[in-house]
Amino acid sequence: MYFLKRLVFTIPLILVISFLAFGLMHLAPGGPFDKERAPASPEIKRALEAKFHLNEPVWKQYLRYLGLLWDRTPEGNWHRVDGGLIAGDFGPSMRYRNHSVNDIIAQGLPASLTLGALSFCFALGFGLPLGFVTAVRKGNWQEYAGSFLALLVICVPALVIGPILVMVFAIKWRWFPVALWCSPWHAVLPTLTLGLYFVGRIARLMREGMLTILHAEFITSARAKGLSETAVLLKHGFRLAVLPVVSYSGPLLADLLTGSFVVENIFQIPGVGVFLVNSTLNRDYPMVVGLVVLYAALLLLLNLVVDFAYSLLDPRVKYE
Amino acid sequence: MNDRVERPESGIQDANSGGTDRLSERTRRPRPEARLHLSPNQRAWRRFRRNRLATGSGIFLSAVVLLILIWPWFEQPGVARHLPKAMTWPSTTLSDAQFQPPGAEHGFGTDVHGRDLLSRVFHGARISLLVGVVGAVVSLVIGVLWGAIAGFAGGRWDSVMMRFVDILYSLPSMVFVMVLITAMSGLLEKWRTPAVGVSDFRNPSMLFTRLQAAREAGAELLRKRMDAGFLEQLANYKPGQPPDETLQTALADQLNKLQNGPPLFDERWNVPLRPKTLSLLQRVPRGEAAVWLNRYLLEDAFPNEIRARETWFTILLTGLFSPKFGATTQMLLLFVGLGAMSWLTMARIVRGQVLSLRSRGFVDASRALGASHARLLLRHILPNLYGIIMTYVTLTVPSIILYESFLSYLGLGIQPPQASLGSLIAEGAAQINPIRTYWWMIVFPGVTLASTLLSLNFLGDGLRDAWEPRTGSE
Repeated sequence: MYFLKRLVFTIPLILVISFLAFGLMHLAPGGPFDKERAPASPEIKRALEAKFHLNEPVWKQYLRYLGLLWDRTPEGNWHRVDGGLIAGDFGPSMRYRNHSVNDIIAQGLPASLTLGALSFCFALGFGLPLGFVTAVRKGNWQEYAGSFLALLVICVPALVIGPILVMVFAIKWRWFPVALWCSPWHAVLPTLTLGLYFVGRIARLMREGMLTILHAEFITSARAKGLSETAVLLKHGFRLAVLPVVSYSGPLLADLLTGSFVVENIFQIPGVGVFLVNSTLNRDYPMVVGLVVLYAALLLLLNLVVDFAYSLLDPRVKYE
Repeated sequence: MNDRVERPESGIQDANSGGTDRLSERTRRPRPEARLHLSPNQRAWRRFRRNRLATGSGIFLSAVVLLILIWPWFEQPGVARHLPKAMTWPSTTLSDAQFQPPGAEHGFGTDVHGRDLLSRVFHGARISLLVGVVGAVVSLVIGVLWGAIAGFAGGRWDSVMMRFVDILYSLPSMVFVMVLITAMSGLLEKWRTPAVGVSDFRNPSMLFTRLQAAREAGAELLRKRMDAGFLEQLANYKPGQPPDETLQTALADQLNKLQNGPPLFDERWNVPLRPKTLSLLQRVPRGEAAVWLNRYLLEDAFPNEIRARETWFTILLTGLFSPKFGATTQMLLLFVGLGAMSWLTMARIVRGQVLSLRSRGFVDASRALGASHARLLLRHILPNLYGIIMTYVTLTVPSIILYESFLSYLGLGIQPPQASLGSLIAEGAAQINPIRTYWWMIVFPGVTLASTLLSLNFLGDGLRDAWEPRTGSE
């Protein structure tokens, strides 16, 4: 019930977000047709603006974008203008003619999502064991090496790792392709670039969770029962130790998104991140608002999933 | 929290030392730990100073800050934009002589325009750190106010304000900052780019449209300088056709006139052009070189302006009060945008602390004495938060530097001719090719960025361990 309520609450939130994005974009000077290659005559420009309804007042454009604009037909009947956000239509792109924003998202989103998912899995796969080891081997060299490694990968950002990986593994040794997104082989370097930072973040969170768990009473009693050390740590300790990772994965996912813009840029991956940067510069209004809404919805949903997972993992937590 | 944990300890020591007789106390110097009446902050400092990694990072950072602050005084005016002698210009052959590998003359090598990378990195680090620190201060102000008010007010206000923070946590704030910065910086773009570039004189239709931009102050300036006949000739030109000979000669003639006349930048920016730039301007550019000359011109026209204004205080002042200098206003946008997205953790932590502090005895006592809310907050609660606030500011700086470098890498942050570490790395990454590697253009800014972030994180972790010894990281 709680999650249902939150799911419903995302709708007004997305409305507010779309309003802010729309308003900001229209505040900015310049329009989508300012940078046309041929110097457009004023008539052409006016015709284009009329086609995309840019000559209307902004509030009307916004309502049209949402799909909440009612118009009068020649016969005098009121009817809703077709399309709009409520119909799941993000509108046409003003810059990439003959493409709707939906097309572009449908083309780009799979690559972006795959990259994000691969990187997150990579981060979990390496970060959790790393954090586990640094916590269990406290005081040993493993702790120092592991903690330093975790902090190091946090502090060497993707925009440094990426070009260096390309120079070494793609250009010098030719093990991996330099760029693009065609085969699993193409995914290796981008995943590494994006994922390493999160390996460090997750390792630190995991270490923290494990350290607090190690002193808990139920661990002592599990040991007292005569369970083997691996059973104690993996079966009893791990499940609770992973909680900080889960509870912190909302901000982590937001950072993953930010990182993916850079990684898509470095490796020229045809994802949606590239479009966001270009479209804001080109004042491609529907594109920017569409992508902002898409990202917000994605993150809100993922956060909901994360909270749900948290309540499953930790039955003590009750959402009212 | 510190008080609660450590007071009993000092109480015990109090009793012990009270029990020893005066003679032995005079002869035996007490160990530093056993000294009495240390405030929690003093105890924390003591713990901090014992952390070698953190103090080492602190020293490293202060050295970096000192270096980038005093660097402009040691820099020769010509060093920042050095043209290698090997590069004859205008050149008809392809050459990469401007990329000098690291050597005795250029410690970090030279960049795509043949400039000394060492001083570029210093300038970049300066701007990155400035953005990081000011952004962190912005986040500090918002976060502390928000958290303190929420925690102090409690009840419904608290839950509403914290719910807001939760919502912001789950939104892609970086996407918003990207949109915000591009939208706002569009307003400033007009001030940054010159109305007409030298290369426009090769394309009459482009020149015409550029000159028609009525609101451009620079365009008007140029129009006034040109002959009326020439402007008419331009207006009659049909786009798409190759310009005929009379037009071509007229174009060259006008360019020549403009270049040999008093420099335009002079009027628009009140920046005297250096003789070298003027002499460069007088050669008619060809092919690729035209683009290159344009960039060189742009970046060369401003260094005096930039250097004169680049002290930290004046950056803020000019940014605040003069829209004329676009780059600093762009930087202000970065400060505000990145600061405004990074205050959430600070607000949460401050709110938690305020919640626990406001029910403590000394606050109750002060309230019983009739202290106002403001006095309670400022006098009794905030001073107890210094340590935590300092810790989280230190940890916010690297994250803001990271975000800034991302933005600059994508071309949305710091714009040339200014540089940040992110934009320097972007310049290096743009030069990656399969034939030659100019590794120094990525490695040196990258290592600078990474070591700065690393030492800031070490410092922050050390501060946190010193002020809240019980809790772990994150």
